[in-house]
Amino acid sequence: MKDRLNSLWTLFQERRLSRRTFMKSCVALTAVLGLPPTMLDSVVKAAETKELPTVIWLHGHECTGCDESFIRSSSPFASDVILNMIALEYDDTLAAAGGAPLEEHLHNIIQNKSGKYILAVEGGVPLEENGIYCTVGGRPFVEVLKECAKGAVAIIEYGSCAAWGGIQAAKPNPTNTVSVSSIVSGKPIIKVSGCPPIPEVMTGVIMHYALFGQIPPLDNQGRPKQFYGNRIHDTCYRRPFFDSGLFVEEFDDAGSKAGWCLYKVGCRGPQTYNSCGNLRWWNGLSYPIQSGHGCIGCSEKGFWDNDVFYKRIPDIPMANTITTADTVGTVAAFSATGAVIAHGALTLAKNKYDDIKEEKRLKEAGLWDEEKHNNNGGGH
Amino acid sequence: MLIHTDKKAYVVFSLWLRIFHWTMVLSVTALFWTGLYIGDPGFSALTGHVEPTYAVDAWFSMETIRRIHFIAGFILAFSFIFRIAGAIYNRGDRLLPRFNQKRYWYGLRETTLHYLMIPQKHEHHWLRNSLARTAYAAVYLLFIAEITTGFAMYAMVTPNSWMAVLFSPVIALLGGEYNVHIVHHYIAWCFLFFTIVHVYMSFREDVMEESGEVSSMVSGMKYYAHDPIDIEDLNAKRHRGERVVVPTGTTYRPSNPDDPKEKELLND
Repeated sequence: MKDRLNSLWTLFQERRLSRRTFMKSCVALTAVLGLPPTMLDSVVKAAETKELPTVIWLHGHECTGCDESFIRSSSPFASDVILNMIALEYDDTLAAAGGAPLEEHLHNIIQNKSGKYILAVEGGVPLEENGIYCTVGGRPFVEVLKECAKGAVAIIEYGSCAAWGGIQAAKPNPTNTVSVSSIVSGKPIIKVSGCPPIPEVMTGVIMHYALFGQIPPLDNQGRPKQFYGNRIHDTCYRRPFFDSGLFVEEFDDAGSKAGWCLYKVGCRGPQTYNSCGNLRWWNGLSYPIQSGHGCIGCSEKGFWDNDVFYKRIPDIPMANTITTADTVGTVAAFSATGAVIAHGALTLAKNKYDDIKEEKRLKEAGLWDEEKHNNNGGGH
Repeated sequence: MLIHTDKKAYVVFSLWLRIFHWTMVLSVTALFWTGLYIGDPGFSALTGHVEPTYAVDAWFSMETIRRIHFIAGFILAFSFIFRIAGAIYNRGDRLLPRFNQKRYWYGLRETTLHYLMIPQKHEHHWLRNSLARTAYAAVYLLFIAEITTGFAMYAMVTPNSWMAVLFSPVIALLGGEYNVHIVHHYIAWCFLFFTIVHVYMSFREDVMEESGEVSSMVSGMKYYAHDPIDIEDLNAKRHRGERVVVPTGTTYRPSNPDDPKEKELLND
């Protein structure tokens, strides 16, 4: 279509921005991508020479909250990403066009750019009743997804719905919603989980691919390590309170006002991998723990079923009551001790009874030998 | 009780096993109680102090308790590894069930009936009975699960370390670290139940059979009037070509020479 190289540097030149501005943007980009400063050279080279990628962005079974997050990215600005840094060819919630012409455009892009575009997916894929619980353009989403995934060079799963199934996959999962990666295979897939993911993480991942042409290093659950490498707990500014043992016991106590650790009111920080602790949200303004509410672990697989969010260990429903493993364990331990003592007493009693019976038998048979059989007074 | 006066001493447990048995006892005890504290900590609730100064100075701050937990965890892991390694060299240290032997399945029934105090025609002496062997196998599996889940959580403080590479697949396997915490917590309680039953069974055996069961974990010796039916654990069959250390005085003396069941099981 275009003869010129559609790189980031070309875009800067076309807008008559200085080399200095370009370099500053590259430095910012390196930091946002979670790369060390030594990688600046590679970022600059990539920004000069790499063709900006074509992106198709699909929406499935979800609330579009990830979109709401994405458009609030501030470094880089979402508008810059969409208008300048990537060629976003299809996004049904952000596109100015709509209806049949937009679907026609999607069809053309899949045909013309086959094997060249990145597929970004938001939302889970419902499978029950042939996927009728989520339709886009009159067709079940699962069909649209399969069609678009065929020619994709890589797939980004934006949000916990696309990555793990999401809230609608909560037990008992009536629509049988699954993740994108359970439908599509054989493609490199990046899980950008979170409900929603941090805006800078969403733009950062797509820029990483745009610049280096390859997916970032992933952890063993498929999430980019530079954003999901650390636990929120290990990067939390309230961690010193945890180490000292100063905990919020209830949400309106003195500890909660003093900003102590939310561990005991169910904070999922110790088991959640995300960048909330260091990147924070809305350009570093705050994050859930900073605003006084524990983390609910929204970037973790199956977090929606790990309730109650305000308790450390899950409830165990019993007849007429709700309890936890510690109570069950304590009661069971005392019962076991009681059972063991009872068994021991019964054993001794039976043994004594057997001895008396044997003594009687021997005496009747005239075989009883006081010296031999009755040492230690006949028992223990 | 009719007393056996002519008991022989059998060297059962190696010094190696006895040392690591007790390091495991100590480390598991430390791990269980510090673990419970970590699950439900309460410095300010316990002491009434609400200022960080006191918490930082306190020897039982969360950090200290956690450190004890981690050190005990390492001691347990290495004790477990050394304990398993020792069993390669010492026949008497092998406590696992032998599912391929008819004797194991027979013993499972015999010992269960014995503990249910249901009278049987003839009861055999065992070095370690089938129920005990099964319980040890179960507790080894629990140890493996507890150690791997523990190290998976511990290692992820430094996600690029070799430990994290080794253990973090456990997190993906269990579907997230929340589940790892829960599994770790639940298994911890299982060790308490094992301990209660294990201690009771040892003392019961000691009192009822007078075989020196309790002291055997210090001295390594057990006392039997006749060779136990699974004496092979100490005295190998030579034709298998294994390294054989014959303890003195372990030629087989059947407890009842006319019992056909015993003959059959012995030749198993």
